[in-house]
Amino acid sequence: MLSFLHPYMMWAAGLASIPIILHLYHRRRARAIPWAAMEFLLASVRRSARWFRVRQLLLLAIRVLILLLAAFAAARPLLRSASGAGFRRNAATYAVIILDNSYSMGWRDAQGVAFDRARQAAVKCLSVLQPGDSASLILASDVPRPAIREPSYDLGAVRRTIAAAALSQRATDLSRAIALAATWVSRSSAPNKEVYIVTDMQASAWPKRRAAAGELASLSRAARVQIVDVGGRRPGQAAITAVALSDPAPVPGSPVRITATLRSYGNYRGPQTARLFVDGRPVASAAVDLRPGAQVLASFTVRLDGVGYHSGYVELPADALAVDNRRFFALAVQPSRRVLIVDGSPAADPFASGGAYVRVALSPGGQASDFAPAAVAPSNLFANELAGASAVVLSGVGRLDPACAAALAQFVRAGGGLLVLPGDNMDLSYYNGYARRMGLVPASMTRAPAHAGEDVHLDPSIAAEPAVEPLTELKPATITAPRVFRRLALGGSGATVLLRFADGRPALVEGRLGRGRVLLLATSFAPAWSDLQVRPLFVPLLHTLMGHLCRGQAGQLSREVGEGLACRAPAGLAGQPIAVVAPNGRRFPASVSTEDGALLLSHPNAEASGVYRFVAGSRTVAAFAVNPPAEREGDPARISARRLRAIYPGFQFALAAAGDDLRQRVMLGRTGMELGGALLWILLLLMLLELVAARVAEGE
Amino acid sequence: MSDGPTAYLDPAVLARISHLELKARLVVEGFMTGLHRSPHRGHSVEFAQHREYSPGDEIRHVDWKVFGRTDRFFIKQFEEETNLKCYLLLDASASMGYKSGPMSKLEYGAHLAAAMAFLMLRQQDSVGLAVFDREVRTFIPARGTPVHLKPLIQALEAAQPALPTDMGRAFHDLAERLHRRGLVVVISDLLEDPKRVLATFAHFRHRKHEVIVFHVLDRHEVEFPFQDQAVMHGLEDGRRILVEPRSIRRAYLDELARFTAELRRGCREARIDYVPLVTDQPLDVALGQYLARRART
Repeated sequence: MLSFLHPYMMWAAGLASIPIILHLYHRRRARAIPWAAMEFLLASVRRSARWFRVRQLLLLAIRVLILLLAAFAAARPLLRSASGAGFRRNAATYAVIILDNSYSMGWRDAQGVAFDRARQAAVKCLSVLQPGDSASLILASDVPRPAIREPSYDLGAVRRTIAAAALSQRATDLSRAIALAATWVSRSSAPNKEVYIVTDMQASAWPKRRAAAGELASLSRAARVQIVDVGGRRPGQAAITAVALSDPAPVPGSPVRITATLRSYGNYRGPQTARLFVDGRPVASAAVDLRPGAQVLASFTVRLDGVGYHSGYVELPADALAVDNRRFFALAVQPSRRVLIVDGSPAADPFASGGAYVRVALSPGGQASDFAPAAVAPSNLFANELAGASAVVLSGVGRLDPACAAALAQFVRAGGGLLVLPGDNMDLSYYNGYARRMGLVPASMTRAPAHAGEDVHLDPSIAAEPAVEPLTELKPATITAPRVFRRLALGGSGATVLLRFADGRPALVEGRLGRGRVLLLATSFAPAWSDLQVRPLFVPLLHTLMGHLCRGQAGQLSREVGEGLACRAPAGLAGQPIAVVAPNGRRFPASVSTEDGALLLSHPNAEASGVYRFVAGSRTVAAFAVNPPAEREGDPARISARRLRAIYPGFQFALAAAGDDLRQRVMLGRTGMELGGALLWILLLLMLLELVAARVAEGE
Repeated sequence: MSDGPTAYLDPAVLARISHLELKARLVVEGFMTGLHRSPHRGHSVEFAQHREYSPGDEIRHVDWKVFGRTDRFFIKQFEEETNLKCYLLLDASASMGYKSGPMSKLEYGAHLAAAMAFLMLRQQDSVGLAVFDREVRTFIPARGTPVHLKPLIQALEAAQPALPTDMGRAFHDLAERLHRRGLVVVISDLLEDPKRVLATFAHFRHRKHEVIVFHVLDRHEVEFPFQDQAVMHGLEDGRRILVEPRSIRRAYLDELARFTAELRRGCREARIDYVPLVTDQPLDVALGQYLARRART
């Protein structure tokens, strides 16, 4: 069966008409010559023109044939046999090798590490290629990394690249690598296209997505897919899938609860000891009993006195997959939590507004406490003011400049906390419109009708939310005692109600913006709105809310492998060389930019688990704990070929084990003989013939 | 301009001169200069005999001495009266109109005829002219007076190629008109059946005429130098034929060679001088050939 690799090139066959057109054109434009000796001419024509015409037609035919054959050769005809036999299989092959280098490939068993077997298997895939074949290489984790993008005919170089390939600490999503391979394959004109997927057949590497199913089906239509399973038997393993800090930005001496989530994957079971290390020193340990498929928590409480960045990790004894047996954390001990209080209605009597009561409550009598309140005018709320703050309180602010609003939103998205208190000057249309769209308020606000001589109280039933959990320890009377004279009706969706009024209306709602939180209180601490400021509930309520808002920065110091690192730094560091120190001690220059007067430090991605530090000289400016995606990648559960076909209908592939004879399997699948070489020889011969024929014709 | 009188032998130079008589004179003088001879030599003024006067004879030829002795009029006869009668037969058929250079075959022939007429009249020979195609279009009887040149030149200038050739018919007519034995000079491309052509020449020979044939062809007819495809259309019959010149050149040249060889052979056998001419050739070739023949006559 004849097919073409570039069928569109057959259009070039139309060029074959050029000699015919030229021939006819020359006939048409033949010059008219008056002639006397016609008898001689007629006799001559009778004698020799016929043979000449034959030769001319022969020359024309050769030229037409040359162009036809050139177009035919350019279309790259391929002769295939339905049975696969009868032809020498000389057709070129383009192979894309997808080498799974996710961290699950680091599994160690009696036969060694799976990734070593994978590299050997990938080299074996190369051995089925012949001179003239080409190959590309993708290192596949949750992102496909093209190690050799363009088809390489230097198979030795591909082999060396495979040998130098390193294991990553990322999760796997093979569908993305396969989609990339499908793109490359579609661009190739090789008659045989093959995709080799060398993987441990981890089930989590094959996400069940409709788009992925389509991509896999289209790939198997364009190329033959060979999966090489290097996984082997995997009974189970234990992993630390998360480490949570109760307060990642504590003040010196305050207790920090560190909770590690330990998980048993597969049929792993047994008692284990989780050990906590802080700043490189073992601090505590906890015995846990892991059961197959179960998840247990190991909690530790530490107190850190030194101001600055601290880091540590929780560790389990090494098992078959060591990388997820240690999980890192980082925290920043602060001298105090700086809270910016923006009072929108400063009156002659400072205690007529709510902001003054907030300041007093956070720092009673001006004494040192966990919080360091500072008053800021609404017009000064820029990035440089926000750089060192943990939370911002907007108390009765009418409206913010767009630049201040943008800086505040950026602050919250980066993990800061925001408490919005209503006030007399508040422009509700601004808050319900622009500020709502910016995410600076979690609910819409309308003025509730006045209550004629009837006060409103809080509902004593506290929501089971971490934000207000400490309030549950208070007596209900303490909670219901404050009287509210004026309030706003909070509405809209997407916010969590933390406190309610006795009539059921929301009193305190919470919303998320980026990594940060926003709290909105329906009433104010100003005496005209409520008497909260003189009630026993006031200080615990405010400390609870501020503590919660400041904890919002916890996630800021934790990243997954592959994510970028970014933080703000004091503007005073401008001009100083700032470096990123990787867990292995290597230093990279940090990317430094300026945003709203503050320095923005960043590092494109963190590829290894551990603690990364931004340092200026010997001073640590920021620290990040980077951990592998253990939740997704730690599960060694494997997927069968049958299940794979069920998930991705239309995905045609062959599955081979690492030890199988890949060469025999692959060669049997290849068929076809490309005729291009033979055609080129014929073309060459025809061109020589044309040269001779043309010379003969010229000679006449 | 020219390098001297001999330059006027070149057809390319002659083509730039419009006056045929002037051209004829220039040709002959150029030719004679080339021979280093006086153009007036060859005049015979030797006394030959007396004969009795008869009305019409010129008075100046009366021998008065004899009259004194005998009282009778006798006329002195000189050698020049035995001079040649020459008939120039110019082919003005359509095929003679072909030209690839500055001069057509007819123009070349007319120049040749004019030059010969001029030369002959200088030599006191009588010259007549017949212009023919398929029949005789113009006929001027032979005379030896210098003023005879003028009608000859006028007839030559008036000749236009238009009709096909029929040499047999035209020459048959001419042979009947040329009673007195003389020299017949045929100027033609002879593009007819060679057997028929030779038969007409034989007709002249039969009447004791000496015959010189100037076979005039164009350079392109001789060499057929065309390269590109062309439509050739016949000047006489209007036929059109598409030819690939490169393909037929060899055959054409063979045909031409066969044709000229047959003519040459036929002429030799009939003791006719056959002079092939090409229109870009200087005219002295033809004039020289004529003088050689004249010397033998």
